[in-house]
This record gives sequence, structure tokens and C-alpha cells, in this order.
Amino acid sequence: MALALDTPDRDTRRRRTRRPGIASVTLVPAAILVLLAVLGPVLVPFSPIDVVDRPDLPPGGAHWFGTDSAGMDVFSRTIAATRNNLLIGLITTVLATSLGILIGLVVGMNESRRGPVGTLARGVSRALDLVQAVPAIIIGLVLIAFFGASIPSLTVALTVCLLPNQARLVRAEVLRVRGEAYLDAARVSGDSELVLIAKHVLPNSSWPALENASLVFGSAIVLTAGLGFLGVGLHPPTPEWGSMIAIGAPGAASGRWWSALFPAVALALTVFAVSGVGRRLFGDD
Amino acid sequence: MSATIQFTDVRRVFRGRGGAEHAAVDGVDLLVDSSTRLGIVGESGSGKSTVVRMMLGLDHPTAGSVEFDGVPLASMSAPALRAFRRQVQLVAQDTSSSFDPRRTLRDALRKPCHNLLELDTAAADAAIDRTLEALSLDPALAARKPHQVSGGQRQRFSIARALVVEPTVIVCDEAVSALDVSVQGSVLNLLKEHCENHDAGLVFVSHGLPATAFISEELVVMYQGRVVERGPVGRVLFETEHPYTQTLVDAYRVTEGVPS
Ligand SMILES: Nc1ncnc2c1ncn2[C@@H]1O[C@H](COP(=O)(O)OP(=O)(O)O)[C@@H](O)[C@H]1O
Ligand SMILES: [Mg+2]
Repeated sequence: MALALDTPDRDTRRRRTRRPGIASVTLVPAAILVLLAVLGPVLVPFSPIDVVDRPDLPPGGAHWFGTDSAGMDVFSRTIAATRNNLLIGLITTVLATSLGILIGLVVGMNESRRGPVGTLARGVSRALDLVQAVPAIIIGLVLIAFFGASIPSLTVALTVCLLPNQARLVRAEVLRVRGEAYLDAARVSGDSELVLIAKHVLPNSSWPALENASLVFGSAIVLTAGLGFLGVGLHPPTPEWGSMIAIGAPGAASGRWWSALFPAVALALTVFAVSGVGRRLFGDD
Repeated sequence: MSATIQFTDVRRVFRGRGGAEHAAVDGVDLLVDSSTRLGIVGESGSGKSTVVRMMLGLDHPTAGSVEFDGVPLASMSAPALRAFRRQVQLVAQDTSSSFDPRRTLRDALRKPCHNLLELDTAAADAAIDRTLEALSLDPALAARKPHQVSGGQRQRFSIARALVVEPTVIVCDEAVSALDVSVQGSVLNLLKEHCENHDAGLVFVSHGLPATAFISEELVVMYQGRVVERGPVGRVLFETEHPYTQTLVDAYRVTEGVPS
């Protein structure tokens, strides 16, 4: 016959098998981090928000990480800050990812429609591109200026910064999934559009945002610290790594390195630990 | 009247980039029911899949109408649409995307049983197993994901998904084109036998004349969105009227050795 001969079984889709089990070294740093966030504030030797000794004491006996220029214990503050920084990062990641998936799904499914719904979806799509083009730190600054610096307002601001990318990732995947033959097959099998979206489009198009979630978490942590460093994040004496680095920076210039270094190391280790979780879950290293 | 799909002067226009309009299907009349096996043949891009999508209510005409037992598919209520799907089923081209990669084949086959036949899971599974056995498929394979079976097996699952509701009309769009030749023959025979044994109608759409001519009783030839020739298979093959059909038939003679 003049028909196509053997066409090899093409399955270009990446096969992402999620390896089971949590007994993995890559999760250990993250587990320690969570423990510190939960228990840190009760474990620390000194109050993290009070002046407890003379200022600028170097690391040693009573104060393992020394004291800062105000006389607060750097070790206690570094540990206690874990909860604030992690909490903001976590809530931001959950919000930005779930809202991003929702928006990406709605936009992707409606973008090519005629009528007002399609126009609206295309408008949102452009808006996402636009917000994406503005540096997150600027959006953060503006929003914080509006809502004031508190954990809820920081979370909202960072969610607004980080949501567009999540939504765009999902939208692009929805556009691909929308053309898949199994959707028409499901329609012919009697599925309504709502069932179709919930059971087939959502599960098949949300993975880019989930894979990206650990990066979002990292960005949220870094942005929180960045805003704190710029003096518009959580205000001292609330323990927060960014503002601690800012307090310690002048001292570091004249040799009192400890009060800026330890929170900076904590920040770096946190981002590293979280990226370990991402690699563990999605095995893309 | 029962299980009749009627295309009346159907036109489907797509708007390309820059707003240029392009009629994928133009002025097509068709009558499909359970009494015949209809072949639709034409080169790639001639509008066959667009016809199929409109035949199944997955897309709607820009002008003209597609009616099922006198009711336009475009304005059918949800229950009427389910009744229609109970009667008219699709076997799509085997691509690895004809089944959701995250779900098992059995999940996919339960769908029409639940949605269209309102069977519970036990009854659905019994119906599925019966259908799979009739297609010489091991029911144990249904526990797998689509990429865990071969292309030929997946295509039989696709046929099983259509046959499990015992439709009166089966629509196949390039149902065997992606399969290798030895598998094609057996799939064609399965379809033909099923239609003969169950008095079901068939719409067999393909860019390849040999398979289409083998399985069909009536042939429609499409070219650039229009029907250029139609009639019983023998007449279209041996008393060709349109020059485009002639080129198809000539190619067919070369490959099949049909006497001129
Ligand atoms: N959704 C669509 N949007 C734009 N153009 C389309 C769409 N579907 C089909 N077409 C165009 O319509 C024509 C016929 O396509 P199709 O019906 O798939 O042909 P066939 O199945 O015969 O190969 C092609 O030119 C194709 O590009
Ligand atoms: Mg086609």
C-alpha cells in the first residue's frame, strides 16, 4: 500500500516520574530549616528583639555570633528570623502558584475566543507580560509604600511580583494541551467543558508552575531580604535577615563582619535548601 | 428517522494571521447514517478533519448546517448531545496524544460508559472487558498508561473507546494512517466486521485511497474543501469523473496493480 509505513511510537512528552520516599539527603537541610522556623524562637538563648549586651561584641562565649551595633544577640536574631523569612516565602509561593495556575488556566482557555471574554483574557495576558517586564523589587517597593510593612502586606506584594511568571508558564502549557487529541476524545465520551478542564487540562498544564515553585520560593526569600535591606521590609527590631544585613553593613566595612555575615549565610543556605527540595521533587538536576 | 447526520451546504471559514479568511470546507452536502460505510478521501489539508470535527459537534459551520435527526448540533441541549454521542462515536488518528498521558486506558474507556450509558463502575468494567476481548486485546493492558502499550494496541483501545457504547455510526479520522501496514489490515478488518455484525454505519476518513476503498461502499473525494466526486466505490474507481480523482486512482493502480 502507498500509505505511511511504520511510524515510530513518538512520545515526546517528558516523562516525569516522581521518585518516592523522603529519606534523601537533599531534604535534610530543608527539614532543619522547618524545625528552626517552628522551634527557633523558643530555643534561642537571648531575646531576639531586645538589647541584651554591649554593642559590637565579637563572636565568642556568651554570644556565639556576637552582638550587633545596637547590642542585640546576632545568633538569636538570625535563628528567630527563620520563621519570618520562611513564612513569607512559603505563603507567597503557595499564593503565587495557586493563583498563577488559576489565572493561566482561565486565560489560556479563553484567549482565542471571540467576544468580551476573549478580549478580557487577551488583556490579562498582555498585562501579565507587562508586569513581568517590571523588576519585581520596584513593584514590591511601590506596593509596600501603599500597604505598609507587615508580614501580610509583604506577602501580598511579593505574590503580585511572582504570580505573573507562574501564570505565564501555565498559560503556555494550556495552549499546548488545548490542542491535544485526548480533549476531543473526552468530549466525544461525554465530558462537559468543566469536567474536561478539571480532570485533563489542569493536571496536564500545571506542572511547569509546580516545578518552578522552588524558584519562586527562593525569589520570595531573596526579595523579602532585599526589601528589608532597603529598609522598606519588616522593621527592626523584628528579626529579619535583610534588615539585619543592613544594620551590620556599616560595621562590616570597619572590620565587624559578624553581624552582617551570619544572616547573609542563613539567607544563602535557605535558598540552597529550598532548591534542593525542588530538585528532589522534580528530578531535573 | 434515526441516527442520520446531514450536512447542508456546510462552509467553515478560518481566519488566518493578518485576518485573511480561508475556507477549509466549502459547500459540502453529506448524508450519513447506519446503512452505509462511507469513505472520505482527499489529500492532506483538503478539509477532511474539519468535516469530521463538525460531524461530531466539536466544531460548527460558519454557514450551512449540520443536523442530527433534524436538530442542528450547534444548538443541541446537553442531554440531546449525550444522546447523539451515544449514537455517533469517533476513532481518531493514533497519536500518542489520543489518551491523557496521566490516566490509565481503563479510565479513558470508563468515561463513555459513565457519561453516555450511565453504567456503574462494575458494569462499565464488564462492558469494557467484553469490548477489549472482541478486539483481541488483553483486558489486563487496560491498567496501563497510554505510552506503555504499542501504537497498534493504543489504536485498538481507541476503537474500543468508540465501540464500548455500541454506536450506530462510527467516524474514523485517519484511523490507520499512523500504523504499519500489517497492523492496518487487521484494524480495517476489525472495523469492517464490527459494522457488518452490528449494522453500524461507518465514516472512514483518510488521505490514503487503498484503505478507504477497501473498507467503504460509498466514496466521497474532497479537494480544497469541496466535494469533487462521490458515488459507489466501484464507480469512482473505474469511471472517474474529476481529474483530481484520476490522479488518486492512478497512484492506487500503481501500488495495488488494479487493472485499468
Ligand atoms: N483550527 C484551525 N484554525 C485555522 N485553520 C485551520 C484549523 N483547522 C484546520 N485549518 C485549516 O483548514 C484546512 C483543512 O484542514 P483539515 O481539515 O485538517 O484537513 P485534512 O484533515 O484533510 O488534512 C487546512 O488548510 C488547515 O490549515
Ligand atoms: Mg486530517
